[in-house]
Amino acid sequence: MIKSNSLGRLLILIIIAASALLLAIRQFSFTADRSFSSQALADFETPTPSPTPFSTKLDTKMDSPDGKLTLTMKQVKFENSIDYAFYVTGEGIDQPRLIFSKILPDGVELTIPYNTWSPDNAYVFIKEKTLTGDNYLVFSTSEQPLPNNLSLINVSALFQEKIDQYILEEITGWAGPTLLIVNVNALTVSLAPSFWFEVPSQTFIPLSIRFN
Amino acid sequence: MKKKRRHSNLIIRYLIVIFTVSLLAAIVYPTIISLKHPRCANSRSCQESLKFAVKKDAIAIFNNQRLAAPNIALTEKDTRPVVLGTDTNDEEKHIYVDLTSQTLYAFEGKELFMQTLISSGKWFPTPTGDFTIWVKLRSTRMSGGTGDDYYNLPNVPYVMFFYNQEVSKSTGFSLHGTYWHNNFGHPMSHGCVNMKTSDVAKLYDWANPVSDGLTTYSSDKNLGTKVTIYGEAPL
Repeated sequence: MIKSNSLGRLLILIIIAASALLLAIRQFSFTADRSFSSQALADFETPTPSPTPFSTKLDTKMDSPDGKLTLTMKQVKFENSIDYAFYVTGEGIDQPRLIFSKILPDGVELTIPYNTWSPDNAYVFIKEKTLTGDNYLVFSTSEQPLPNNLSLINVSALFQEKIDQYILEEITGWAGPTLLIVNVNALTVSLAPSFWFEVPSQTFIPLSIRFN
Repeated sequence: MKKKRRHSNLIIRYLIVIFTVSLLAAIVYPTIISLKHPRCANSRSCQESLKFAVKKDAIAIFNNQRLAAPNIALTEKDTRPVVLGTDTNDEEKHIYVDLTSQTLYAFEGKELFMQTLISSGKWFPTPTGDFTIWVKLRSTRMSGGTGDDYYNLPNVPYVMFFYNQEVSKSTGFSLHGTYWHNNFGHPMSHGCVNMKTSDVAKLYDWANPVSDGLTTYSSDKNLGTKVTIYGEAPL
């Protein structure tokens, strides 16, 4: 009777010891797993920078009225800004000619108006839309700079500086090789007669009619 | 004596009234007539623009500016005779000009061949209605206006004159290329329909009569394309 009791106790002891050993082995292996997971989490919390920034590219083109030259606006859009570059290509131009580039924040954009080219292809004008109003910028398309060695003329700023009683509303196109058509509003009355802006002399010529 | 004087005064008054009315009629009537039935679009010489003309290294005048008129480089395509009946597309061609939006549409049947901005009459209205192209000229000279409005434009390219019963051939209204301004989408002409030269070159090749050299008249065998002009220009 005593013998069978001590055999039973021994069996219980062996089972307990085996369970303890198994638990110990499992505990060891879990520790290894957790250490691997914590390494993966560490990787997630401190990402390495991506080599390519988030950006989209867009090209906009406008041919000259005679079809000989093309103005191309290249845009690279980043998260909070747009990179603009304007090129002239076509007959007699070996390499694309960069005439203007600018990085602008969100909310400001540059566009090519339909009538951008002067009739003789010597100049182009582009439109800058800002939060406070529009700017119209004139460039030479050749390697010759604009009069007074300028790289561009901001017609809107010049108008504001020279003409008091009117607000520049829109520049629609070219009335001649050097004449931009400037539509204005009077401070008191809308639909006032138009002005011409003469590029070489940088002067505004008041007209008696409006070019709608 | 008094009665005689009164009588002569009355006659003088009548004469003054008749003279004033006649003078007003003489001024107002031709103006109304010329607006309803214009003498011609290019008033310097109504017949001048209806003939083919090319001038090398010519100078043009428009809006008081002098500019070089582009030389017309005539190619074999411009001068070669075309065999009629080779166009296999039987769909009717039709050009529409919407003066309100300053837009031209060219259709072949239901298919849109071209849509582009134009400039219609600023100094003289472009007539509205249904017209037919009666002659195509590869180039011509157009002139008219007076004072600040004077213009003289040699080498006007790709000219397509149109007419109907109210607007005769001699009035000289046409669709044509433009090298002296770039303000399309806005009225800017003396009555004609101004187009970008690159656009009108394609339209000239497409429209009927099928070109048969530098001057092509429409005929029973070579009918002109219909042109419909409608709307009101934003003057």
